[in-house]
Amino acid sequence: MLKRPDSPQAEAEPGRQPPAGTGPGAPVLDVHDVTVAYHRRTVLWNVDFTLQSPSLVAVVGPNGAGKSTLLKAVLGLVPLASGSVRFWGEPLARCRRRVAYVPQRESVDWDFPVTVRDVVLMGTYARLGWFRRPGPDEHRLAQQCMEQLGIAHVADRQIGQLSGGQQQRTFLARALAQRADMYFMDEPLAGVDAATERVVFDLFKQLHAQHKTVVVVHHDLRSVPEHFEHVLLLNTRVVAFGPVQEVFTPQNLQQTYGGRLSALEQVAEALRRTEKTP
Amino acid sequence: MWSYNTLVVLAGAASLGLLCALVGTFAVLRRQALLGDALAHATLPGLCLAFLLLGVKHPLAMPAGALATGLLGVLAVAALQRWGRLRPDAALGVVLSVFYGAGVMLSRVVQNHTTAGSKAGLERFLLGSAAGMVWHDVALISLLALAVAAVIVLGYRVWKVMSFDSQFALALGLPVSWLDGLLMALVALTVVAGLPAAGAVMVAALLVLPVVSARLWVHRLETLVVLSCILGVAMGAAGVLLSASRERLPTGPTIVLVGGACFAVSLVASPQRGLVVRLWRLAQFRRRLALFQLLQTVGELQQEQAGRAVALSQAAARLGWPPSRTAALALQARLQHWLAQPEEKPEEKHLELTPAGREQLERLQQQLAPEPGSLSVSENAPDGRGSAR
Repeated sequence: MLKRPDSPQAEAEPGRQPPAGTGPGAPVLDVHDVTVAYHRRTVLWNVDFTLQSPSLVAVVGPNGAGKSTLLKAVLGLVPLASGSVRFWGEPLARCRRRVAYVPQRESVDWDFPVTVRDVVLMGTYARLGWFRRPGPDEHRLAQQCMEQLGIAHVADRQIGQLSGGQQQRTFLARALAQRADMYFMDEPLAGVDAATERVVFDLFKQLHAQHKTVVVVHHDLRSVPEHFEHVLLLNTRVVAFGPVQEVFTPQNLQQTYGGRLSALEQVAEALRRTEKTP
Repeated sequence: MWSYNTLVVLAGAASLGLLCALVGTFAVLRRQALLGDALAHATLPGLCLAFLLLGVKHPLAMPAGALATGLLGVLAVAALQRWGRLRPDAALGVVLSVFYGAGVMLSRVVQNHTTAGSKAGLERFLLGSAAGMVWHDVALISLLALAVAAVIVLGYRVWKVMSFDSQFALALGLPVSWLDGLLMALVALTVVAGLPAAGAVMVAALLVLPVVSARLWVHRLETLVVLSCILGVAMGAAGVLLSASRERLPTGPTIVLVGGACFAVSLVASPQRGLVVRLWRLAQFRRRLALFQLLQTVGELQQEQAGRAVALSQAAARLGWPPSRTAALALQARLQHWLAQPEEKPEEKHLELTPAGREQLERLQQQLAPEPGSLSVSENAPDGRGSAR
């Protein structure tokens, strides 16, 4: 195993990062030889990739490939059997506030007695400190985030009364209220309507324009070439990682999905699209 | 009119209600409602063991014994889930019944081996007897309630985030498993504090009833906590007064029945989630759907026969409805002037769609039928994306 050089000095000013592609700064995200096992089953095996500069990254792979587990492992939510993860050259504990997580929509009870505004305000809690009440600044920030995602008109509804797309937007608004530099999203486009899908892709674009990194577990192969810069093809191991143009090839996809028919159809569709928009 | 003793008992039951409601709100939201029940049943063997070892009802040893086996029961539930490959409900079922069985066996041993005078008190822990509460019981419960309130108010946002979304809380760096442990410890202390008053079988119900009743009336956590506290206090006080007034009813069951009644009323009458409102809304929806179908069918038939009025029997046949139902709905539609009966056909009821009826048809269609694009999954999405993980 290679010993990676630690470079805490590379980030002179925490909270800021060098703009894309400049400077000798530490990589934005460095996942090194991560292995995760549940009971006796290996879910992730030696996952190793480095993201040098801020990007939009799609994580794709068949069901059970360990996509969600990868996000959880990177964020320290499941124990690593081996390996390490560094953000801007530092361990997670030192930059937790710069990292936001959007769990799968099904992971919470939507009957829980909170309103949309309550949930979005939760994004401000960590920065605020756990014992201070959200003030006017936090409320303004939450309002902004809700407006950006088009859910300001349902701000005071209990979250169980929302449509699936609105619930997903609520989760995204909460992450946005964290004002993080890196976002990990688990299937933010699962089962949402077309309007929400457009809003979410716009959000990715805006975050990217602000030099933020967005890592998305994604299942719709056809939209990968259009909306993402990097792609991680995962099936327990990393099949391929790199810029979409280089890595998103039929050979790699076939290797990832094991030649399943539905996946191959998607590949053909994806290729047709990439040819249309070079 | 109320003696000093009544006031002490009343204060005790009210503060027990408050304590249970506070702890219970978060236990229920964290989906640990049944764990309180298992814990309460698991306190029985501890009580009996403490009594057997010491031979007297020691005021500290009895709760300590109860706490010990109660926590042992909770650990057993966790262990069965982790290493015994049992689902939570099965694990709770195993622990609850085995510990309770052991408790009943031990209490029989106690009955066989001790004198009548000292064993009588054991039964109190099964069903509860608030009448026996003395002021230091009340002080203990009140202090515990204050401490719990302080923990919850100080860490309010922590509890809120971690009970809503534990994955998100973990990602923020909160020690979720420690917090779960703390919550469980509070549940255990609450159960043990409530044992003498409410009894092992009933005390867990006090954790659940206030919050599930309150949840039917409010939809924000802040108001939920406040309302369940109010309901908890009211249940405790009302239960005590009832059990004292009528030939010494057992206090625990009385409190629980009062709570159950409160829940039943909430379930029926709540303005947003109550059964009455929900059935009314369902009936309204069905009526609108049926009206829509009737108007649509009349319109279609009219078009097919070049604008002539439609016989009621014809519409009924097309819809597959019994004639009586069709006639009743047609009458409603005529009263609203959505359908009209032309003058020249008096022999059998004939109907035609009015201009107002056409407008109503469009309105209903917008309300009832999903607009393409607004609710359905986008067209370029693969099928079954919702199931993809």
